[in-house]
Amino acid sequence: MKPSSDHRPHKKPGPSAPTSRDWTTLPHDILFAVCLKLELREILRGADRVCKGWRHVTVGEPALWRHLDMGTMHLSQCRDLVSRGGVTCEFFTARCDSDVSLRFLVRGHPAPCLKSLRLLDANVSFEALNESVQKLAQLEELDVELPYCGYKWYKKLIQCICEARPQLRRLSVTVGLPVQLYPKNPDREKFVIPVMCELRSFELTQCNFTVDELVATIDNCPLLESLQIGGLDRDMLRQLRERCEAKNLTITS
Amino acid sequence: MEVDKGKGEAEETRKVAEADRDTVTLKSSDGKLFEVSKEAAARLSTVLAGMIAGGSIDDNGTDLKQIGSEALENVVDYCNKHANSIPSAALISSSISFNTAPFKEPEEWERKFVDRLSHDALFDLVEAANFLGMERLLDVTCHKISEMMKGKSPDQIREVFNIKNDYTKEELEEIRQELAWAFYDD
Repeated sequence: MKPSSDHRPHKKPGPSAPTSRDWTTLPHDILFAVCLKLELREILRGADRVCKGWRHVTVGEPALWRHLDMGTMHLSQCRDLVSRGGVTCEFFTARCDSDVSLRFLVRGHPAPCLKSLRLLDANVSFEALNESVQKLAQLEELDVELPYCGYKWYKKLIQCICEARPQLRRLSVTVGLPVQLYPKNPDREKFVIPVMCELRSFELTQCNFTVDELVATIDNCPLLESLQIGGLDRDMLRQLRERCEAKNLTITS
Repeated sequence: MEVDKGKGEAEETRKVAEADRDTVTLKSSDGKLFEVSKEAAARLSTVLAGMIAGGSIDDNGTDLKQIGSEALENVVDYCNKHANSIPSAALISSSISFNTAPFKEPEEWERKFVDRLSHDALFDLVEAANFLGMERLLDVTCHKISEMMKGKSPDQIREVFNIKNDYTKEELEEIRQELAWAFYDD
């Protein structure tokens, strides 16, 4: 870059004049600040592929990849981006196709400081999910859509999540297809969660919960504003509403 | 960096600078002098604020060897416009809060201010803003650059910024593979 020698007449080149500056030498911090103003896809489809110098910035700045909303993409397809964000990633949404992918997301020490994790179509095991939640100490919002799950494991999963992360503000674990493997098993364990003092929004799928269990659950969530239980029958919904009438809480099915 | 010698203009501006102590005089790499409100300079630029506070301002023109005259003119222009557009109550908040303030969309006059610039002038101005620690001007110029990139293919971006493609076909294909999903609707 050289300073413009201003001996030319008053007229300055307008916005459409071709540039003679070397934009690949744009300082790192500036290009980074520019990229912060672009959306994920715009960076990937643009700046990332313009030249090596620019890509060096986009790949090397974890802060650009802090908020990864992959929509309906599979986690395994965006491992490269997960790596770019490293431990600084705070928000993550994707479809989750395997335990391996999920473990990749929460790998390393320290684990990523995810505050919000959303897993769509989560084809993962109880162990992998439980293990991940245990690692994500800063988690505030967790959304998991399980395609299918047995009643027993489902309840156990929610209990484990609540025990590990009592600071959650939002918890949604839903099952597309709940399966009751042993319908007549009489000695089922009672469903109990610890006190969730930050929880505002709770979403579940009806998997054999009794009204008593649900009332006890609500009692342990003092700040709860919204409870949604997919598949709850009308009669139970009515009973539940009656028993929690005094609370400032919306219960839907 | 090569320095252009500004001769006659320098003498003229100096007189004005000395007459008014509410301003500081800045000297570009090519020797031209510019006058800017001391208050605005201190409020908008952390570097100038430091120099003013530290007494390292030269009445005969403080040397800014990294900044050419055209860019410095824009910087000064921006400072003066900014000083006029801000209600006096805002003067109380000093540059301390700058780094924590969230980005506000450019105001109409700021938009016009950067829209009229050539790409070269924009390049020099963003570098000057960076050098002088002018958070707001940097924000506004970076916003402009990001708008020039939005919705454009790498080829189009290269054309706008006159950048040579230094990727081989194979390397580009590799990137495409890596992030194939981002290009589905190409």
